[in-house]
Amino acid sequence: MTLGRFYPLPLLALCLVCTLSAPHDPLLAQPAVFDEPSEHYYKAKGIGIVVKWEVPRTTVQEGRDLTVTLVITRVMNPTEVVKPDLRKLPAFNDAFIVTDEADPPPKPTDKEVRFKYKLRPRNRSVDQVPALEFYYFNPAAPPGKKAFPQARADAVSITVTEPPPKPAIPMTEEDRLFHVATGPEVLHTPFVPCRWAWVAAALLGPLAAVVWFFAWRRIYPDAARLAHLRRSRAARRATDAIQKASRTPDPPATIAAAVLGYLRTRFPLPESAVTPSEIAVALVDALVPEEVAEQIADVFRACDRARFAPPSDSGLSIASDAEAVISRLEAIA
Amino acid sequence: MTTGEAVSVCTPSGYRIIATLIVLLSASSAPASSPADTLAQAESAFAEGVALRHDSARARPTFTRAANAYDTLWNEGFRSPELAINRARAHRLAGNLPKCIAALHDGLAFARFSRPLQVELEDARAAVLYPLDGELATQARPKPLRGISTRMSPTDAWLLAGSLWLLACAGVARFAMTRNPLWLAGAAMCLVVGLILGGLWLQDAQQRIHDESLPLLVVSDDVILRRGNAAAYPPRIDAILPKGAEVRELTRRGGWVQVQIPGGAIGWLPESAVISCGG
Repeated sequence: MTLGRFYPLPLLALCLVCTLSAPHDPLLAQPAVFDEPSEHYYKAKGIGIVVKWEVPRTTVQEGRDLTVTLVITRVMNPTEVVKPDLRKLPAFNDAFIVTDEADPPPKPTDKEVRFKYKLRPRNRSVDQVPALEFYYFNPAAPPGKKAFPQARADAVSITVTEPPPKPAIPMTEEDRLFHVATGPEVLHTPFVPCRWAWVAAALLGPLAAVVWFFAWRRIYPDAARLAHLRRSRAARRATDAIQKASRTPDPPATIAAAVLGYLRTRFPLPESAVTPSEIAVALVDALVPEEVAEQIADVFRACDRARFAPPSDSGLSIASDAEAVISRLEAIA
Repeated sequence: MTTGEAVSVCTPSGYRIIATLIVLLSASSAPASSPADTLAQAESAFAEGVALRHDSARARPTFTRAANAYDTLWNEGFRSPELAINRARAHRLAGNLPKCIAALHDGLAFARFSRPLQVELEDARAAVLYPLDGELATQARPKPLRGISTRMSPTDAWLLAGSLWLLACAGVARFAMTRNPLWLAGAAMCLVVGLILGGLWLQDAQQRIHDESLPLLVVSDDVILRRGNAAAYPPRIDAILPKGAEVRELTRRGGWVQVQIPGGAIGWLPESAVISCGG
């Protein structure tokens, strides 16, 4: 009881001294340097700070930005508060593409700080602006006790709607590009001649020529014989002359001259042999069968008859007879 | 099967093996898409794209589907000028000009004579954004195809040469029949024409061997032609080589390919920036 009676006086005095020596304005007290949060602390100082999201529109189209404002009230140091970087907060960065908006610089006398952001939802499953934890320094708190209380901006539900339909832009390519070949023909590889096709083409020409030639000989034997005849230049010239004799003024004389010229070229016919009989004899001397020689003589006689006697034989038959004897002689020669 | 084997099969690992076998068998027995089906898919996708042409954002993916189906057919070995043109048009309408040009070169490597393919290639080349002036303007533009093989197909040449040879032989045969030298002259003329044709083909083949000895590449993206095989090397030509430009491959090294542009300049491009094609 004695102590209880006498000790309170010095204790009261000590308290008084302490109170007087301490700053009167608690707002000017120095912050404690211990227990500063490592996260969600943005240098805000105040008593009973309130943080909240302001979201004017809670519906946003996919691909569009949502404007949100972080409002911090009852701040004592508005110029010192650091704007939270939402890109570093997974809850925000996973859900939004965050773009900082420029904020007007706060005045030292402001009691409220506003930080504006543009948040673009990454997909349509995003349904809220997440809550934001906000630690601040409470200068009025006793040292070591709740110097950094936590405020919290509550989450705000939002709705992400379908993006607006984009205006259709027509394709400007040329019309012809919009047409393609269709049907199974598209897959048909065109014929490309192989080596054997070239070999076949090379063989076809000679083969066809040979076949044609032999067929012609079979179908036109006379023509073939005549062709054989034409291999002799003398015979060819004689037959050409005989064939053209009809266009001359005196065909029998032309035929006789052609045959005689041929005989003189092909056989050693003496110059004196001019009559049919003399020619026949000379031919027999040249080993021409007597029968053929006589036929030749007959041709000459027919020519003489046609020239000097009244017309009894056509030039055509004489010409054919002449060609026939030349043909026989060619076969013999 | 013995009891032991039956037991081993009925264990969990045995079930896994059976399940795997079933999956493998079902996968192997699944009918592969036939060429006709693939063609039908391609045509359907192309028609869908044409129907959506008023909206390029929706039409281009369908043209891409059509192009992929046509690519599948081409890679399966189907070759025709029509298929090459279809491929090229689908790629072009899908917005992929380099692949369009590559598809046209693939087609021309097979059917160099095809006039529609040549026209399509020239049109596609005209869409490549070559610079209008400067060194690249003169160096990068590809030269048009020339030679008798661009005008006459091997089939046409075969028919023409065969006909000339047949006429020549027939002329000789007719000369043997009539001894008329005019027939021999005609046969000789046919032979001369045939020989001229053969000479032109030979010259064309030699020119192609010379021109196409190096693989053809199409630039798939706007890219800088560099002096060395690294991005640190300075540009060989100041201007950017536009996508769709055609270059010839010289060599490859370290993910880069050394190329020669049509004007003769040599430089390096990343391998990822080029696509190979025929021709």
